[in-house]
Amino acid sequence: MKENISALLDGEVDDLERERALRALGADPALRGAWERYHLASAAIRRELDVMVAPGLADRIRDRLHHETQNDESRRPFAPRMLKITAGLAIAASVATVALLNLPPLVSPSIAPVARLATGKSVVAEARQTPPEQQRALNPYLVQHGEFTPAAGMNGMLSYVRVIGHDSVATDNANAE
Amino acid sequence: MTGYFFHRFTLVVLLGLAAPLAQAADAQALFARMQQAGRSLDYEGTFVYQHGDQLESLRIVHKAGASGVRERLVSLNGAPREIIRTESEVRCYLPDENAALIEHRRADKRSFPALLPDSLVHLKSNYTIQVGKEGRIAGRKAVSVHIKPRDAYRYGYLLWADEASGLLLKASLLNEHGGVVEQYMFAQVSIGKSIPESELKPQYPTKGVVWQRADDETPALPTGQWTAAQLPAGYSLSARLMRRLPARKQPVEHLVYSDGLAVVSVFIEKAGDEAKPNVLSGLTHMGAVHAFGKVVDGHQVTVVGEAPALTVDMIGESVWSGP
Repeated sequence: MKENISALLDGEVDDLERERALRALGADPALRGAWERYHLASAAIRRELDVMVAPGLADRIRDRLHHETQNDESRRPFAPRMLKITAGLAIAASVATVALLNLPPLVSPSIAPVARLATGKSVVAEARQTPPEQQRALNPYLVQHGEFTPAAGMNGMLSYVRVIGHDSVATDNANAE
Repeated sequence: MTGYFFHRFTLVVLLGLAAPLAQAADAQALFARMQQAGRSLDYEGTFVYQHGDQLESLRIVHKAGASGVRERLVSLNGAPREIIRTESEVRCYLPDENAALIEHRRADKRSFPALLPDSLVHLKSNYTIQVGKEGRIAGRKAVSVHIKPRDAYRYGYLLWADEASGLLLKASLLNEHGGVVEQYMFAQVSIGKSIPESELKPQYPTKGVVWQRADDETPALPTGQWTAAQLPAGYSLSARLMRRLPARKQPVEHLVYSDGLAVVSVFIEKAGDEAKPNVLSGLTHMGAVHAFGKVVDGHQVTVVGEAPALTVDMIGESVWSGP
């Protein structure tokens, strides 16, 4: 079955196989774990880990749907209940597919910080202070960039302040000599 | 009873709406005045600029006139660096490096001296704006504008404008926790006094200085489509142009991404030997500016912007040469 799941991930399945794979996913926690690991691996390969969802999402969606259908069972006649379960599975499948299969291209950038919170780590490396010699190399870029910064924050001016103000390290060295 | 209730309800709704509407009008009016102040006022003063644990003091001379706005900026501590900018060019005098850079301004006229957002409406999808606190800066009555970001992809701004003239007296860039990333504030400023021409000339001898002059001719835009494939919410491409950097043979493609307030610049140039010694790689910061560098398809990509690491990193990492 894992081969089928792998094929599903790669989009190399026909409708019938997809149906079968999704049904198996719905029934087997081990398969769901594998499904998530495949995605994690492929996201890692594509360096898209920053938009990876928290582990166990597929399980949680399934549990939630299961819970809801159970709660509703007592009040509903059989046929609609079956319909709902089927629809529920279909939704679970499509949510899981959208959430996992298509996540990186579909994810809205504003979700990324939330995803980062969920995974508890920031993918953006802690930015270190720009070394003095690179600051110098950046000056021409900062000057050109300054042309476009809005004056709302007096940034128009601030941008240039950076060019002449960010030399403290070099200056300190000069003073020490 | 129903009528009474209805009227009470309407009143409450109207009162609830009135405050934000008045605030919006105030903010719009204040922005307009600040923009006007940057264009029409003559002023000179001394201000402090703080970034991280560094503190600098600088002097600014700003003159508006028939020939447009001219400005001179001088660092008062460390190397006596100067910047003189006019509507057509920016000259940076860096005596400690025995160099002077000259850049031609490429953006359209609208961009100088103020690139204030055209309307607050666009800003409001990414920021909330509060005006009205009163304070005192450089001995003058001032009023605040607090621009708070709605997500982690932009800094917040706390601005203080001169009540009488609208001139910006203090500006702080705030991170997502409200902490100050960098700020500057006038310690002394005189507004409206006439400024002699001599105040706008470079003050240190330019003899023996190596002039690095950017070529004035504008290179044509290449046919390739360099682009940032992933942008944080609210950011869009606001300009694309080709420019020449001083002391570089190859033209540089410049993409400008903005959310109306925060601006991130992406520069793309053929990776050559001349850029080698100080090639920027990865993410670094100086004050509120984050800088990012990488090589893609034999091109050096350099990204700078007054935006959080998250934003500069996302834009920088996604830059590619197009489909």
